[in-house]
Amino acid sequence: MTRMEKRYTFVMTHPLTAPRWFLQGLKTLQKVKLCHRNLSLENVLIRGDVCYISSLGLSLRVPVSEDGTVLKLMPQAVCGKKPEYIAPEVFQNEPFDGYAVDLWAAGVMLCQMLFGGDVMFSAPIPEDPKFQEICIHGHLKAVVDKFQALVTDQKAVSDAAIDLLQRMLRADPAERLTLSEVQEHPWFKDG
Amino acid sequence: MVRAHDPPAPSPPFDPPKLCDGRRTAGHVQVPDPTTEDAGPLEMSWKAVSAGALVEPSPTKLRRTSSIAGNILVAAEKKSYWLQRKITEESHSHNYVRIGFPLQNVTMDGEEMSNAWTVCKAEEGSMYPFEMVAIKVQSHRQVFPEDEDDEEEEEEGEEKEGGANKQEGGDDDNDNSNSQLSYISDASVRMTIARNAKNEISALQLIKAADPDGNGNVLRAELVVQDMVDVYVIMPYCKEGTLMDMLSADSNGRLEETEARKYFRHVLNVRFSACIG
Repeated sequence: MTRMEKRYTFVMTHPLTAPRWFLQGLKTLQKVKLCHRNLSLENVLIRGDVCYISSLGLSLRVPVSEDGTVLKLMPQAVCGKKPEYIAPEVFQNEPFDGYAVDLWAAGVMLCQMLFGGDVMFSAPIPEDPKFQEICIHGHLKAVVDKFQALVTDQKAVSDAAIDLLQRMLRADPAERLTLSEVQEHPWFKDG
Repeated sequence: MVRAHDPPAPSPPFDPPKLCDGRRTAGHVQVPDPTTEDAGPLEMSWKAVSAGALVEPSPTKLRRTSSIAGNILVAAEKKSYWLQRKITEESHSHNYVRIGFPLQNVTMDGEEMSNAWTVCKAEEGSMYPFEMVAIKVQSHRQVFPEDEDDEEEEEEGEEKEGGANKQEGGDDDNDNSNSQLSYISDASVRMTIARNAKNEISALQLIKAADPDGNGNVLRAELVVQDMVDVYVIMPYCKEGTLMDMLSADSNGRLEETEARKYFRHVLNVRFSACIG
């Protein structure tokens, strides 16, 4: 069945809810030009089968120039409870792209969901060997292989998922995927 | 996408939050009795009710129960909520979240009783038999510390408010260089918590305005109420907890790839694009 047919099937079985665009999560935040800054597994709530982003206490409005371009934010005090969710540029107290820091946190969340805590680095600083390996050198695949060799009950995570994660967990925000690029990634789009 | 050469800018301040007035009151709440045969699916939420409300079963179908004093929040537009047990507590502040049940006034002989309520049944096909909400309760003083200052000393209060606005524009930790370190940092922590609480309400209202149908996968504030003491943010109740709880429930602390993708899609973006053509 092609993707188009799948969608069509869905429309047929859920006529009441289907004829709308369901905008969600980060997309909603970006629509109103907010960055969350405190995205983590603890701040996503589940109701029934659907997730909702919560805890907007640290959110900031993203500045936009007169021609509509999103501007970087001035350095803010580092915030958030867990260091791994804090993007490296925020940790270094540099000006930052508000959307890119949320996508960083989303990448960390996905990494936790797929591998548990074991693959994750503990802080986004060059001194952390795992951070160096994954986010600066881009060797996530090697780290994952090493981890999976140790753990026998782990189901293999697909290469497409690892590829997406690698592209989201880049230390340089300019190399990180944007929200629309994540949406276009095969792992996100298909399956 | 940001352009590399653009200079960084401060975050634009939020609009002040819009709050509606409410009051805490006592009264009678009638709840369906689980011991009758036709209670059926109501039993589940009955347990939730009795966990916080000290209700005993009785032979009548509807039982009149007195609420504990002040456990009913009456807000504008005839919206009332029955405050129940705490479900979270944040360690750094006095904030907490309570479960709540939306209430409707009982009608007797065609006349609406102003001090008797009953819990609202949820819509057909909903997960819970009763409507349920989460109510975030924060002290008014904590959300609006500058208002308190206003009352005490009007002129100084205005000055402080100006200072707060300036702080909102940029970095906030310059205070630490001040010689009166302990006093200032305490005040700045207080201001930071207040600004966060206030900004959260503003942000929630910004989202609600842009996403009135609530399809956006961001937890929305249905109503923000204030009385003399507290500010109440009324939000949908998420019974299943957090994503972290979901992971912790798994023995390996991981999710299947398809599960992870489902939730990841919710967090990021599009559940499905059902608009074909």
